[in-house]
Amino acid sequence: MPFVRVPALFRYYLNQQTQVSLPGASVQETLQALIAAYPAIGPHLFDSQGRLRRHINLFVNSENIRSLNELETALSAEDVLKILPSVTGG
Amino acid sequence: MTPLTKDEILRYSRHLLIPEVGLSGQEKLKNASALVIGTGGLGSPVSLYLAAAGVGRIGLVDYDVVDSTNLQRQIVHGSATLGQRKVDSAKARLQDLNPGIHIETYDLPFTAANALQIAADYDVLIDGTDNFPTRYLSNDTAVLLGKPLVYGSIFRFDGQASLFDARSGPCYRCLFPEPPPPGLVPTCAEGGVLGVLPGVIGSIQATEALKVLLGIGETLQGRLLLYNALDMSFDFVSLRKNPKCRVCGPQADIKELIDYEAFCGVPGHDHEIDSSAAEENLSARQLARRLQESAAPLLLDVREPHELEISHLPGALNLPLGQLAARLSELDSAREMVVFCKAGTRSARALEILKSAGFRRVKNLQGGINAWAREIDPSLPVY
Repeated sequence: MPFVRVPALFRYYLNQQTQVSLPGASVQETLQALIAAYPAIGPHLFDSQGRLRRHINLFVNSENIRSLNELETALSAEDVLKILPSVTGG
Repeated sequence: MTPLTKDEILRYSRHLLIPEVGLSGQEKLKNASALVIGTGGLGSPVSLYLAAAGVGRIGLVDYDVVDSTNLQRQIVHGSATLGQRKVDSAKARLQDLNPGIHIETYDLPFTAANALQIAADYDVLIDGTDNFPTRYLSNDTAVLLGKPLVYGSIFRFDGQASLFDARSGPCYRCLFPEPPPPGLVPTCAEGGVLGVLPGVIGSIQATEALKVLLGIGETLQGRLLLYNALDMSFDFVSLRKNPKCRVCGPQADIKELIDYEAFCGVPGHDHEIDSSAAEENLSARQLARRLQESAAPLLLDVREPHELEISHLPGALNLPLGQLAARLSELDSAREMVVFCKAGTRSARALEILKSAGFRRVKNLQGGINAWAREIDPSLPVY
């Protein structure tokens, strides 16, 4: 199953885990599995119209899904899905 | 090009011994300039290392004063400069480290009214900001002026760093076209940060700035460094120019600086603010009087459980802000309630959630439990 790297911003909703292994053959499927397992993270990833929030980037390994197939980007068992929100501490 | 003096040759001997730097490289640094936007967690290590390296002219922008909560991470300041203007505090430390460089200070907010003028005279810009409006302002300023911007940002244990130069690669907006909705991403004042984290990211930013000024090595342009201090992982992801970028793309429609606080929906600083309306607020003194009356209101503490170890109000119900929306059914909407957090920012957001759910008898404790500690119960610590 692909791994999902969890940024510090969202570890609160995933019992402080830095990464989780979830099923899914695509980015969309894996994110749905993530939300199913940890519902509180849902509104932080998607807005009320079901669109990925614009301050959230998703990378499959090192490539942004915007350069691939967006949420339909395929995931294999060896892939790592990285969730990258903007943060502004300084 | 001003050559090095004999004293400078001695001071920078460890640089001169490196083939990629040498005499010519050190002279480049002496004749170079860097603008450090923010003299806080990131700005501290960045400015210290650029000063130590002999960057000839360093500009410091900050409107704030040194307070004790800064000293856990803002290492350019110290107890001796508490209450001083941050740029003056930083300048004194940097000049002590390296009297041979020139420090220019801008003791004012970095805004759309002054950013282009301030930044125009520097070779490289360093993003040491702590809020979204100033971050987007710094990016757009760099793009419009055609200057490289060394980016860094932090939260709790995570850090990000990159080099943005829109002349040949992506800018910040290519990665983050829009800021998060207000309240969705906490600042360090709200969420906390490991003190040493900006030391790591800031040092990386200083490294990138020096590579730009020296013209050596492979920079982070086109890559984003993701640092996780908890598992000590350094990861890199690819960054590409967004062909639809509104500020650096071929059809860019942003040709001048905008109102960044309006764009982001939050102020251009990371101080905690209470955004609730005056009639929704209760001062600590008012709450103290109210608690002595019959039928006292429910106290709802929306902080994280570990914060209760620092200070708490007896009898308060703890329901963290992040769980509030999902647990509203646990609350009696007909009951009078006073919601509070550390300083009033999170509780103001909690108030909005409760009001949206039909709770009508809710007020916000202005200034949070910190205000209670200052005005009512000094036995409680302020944090």
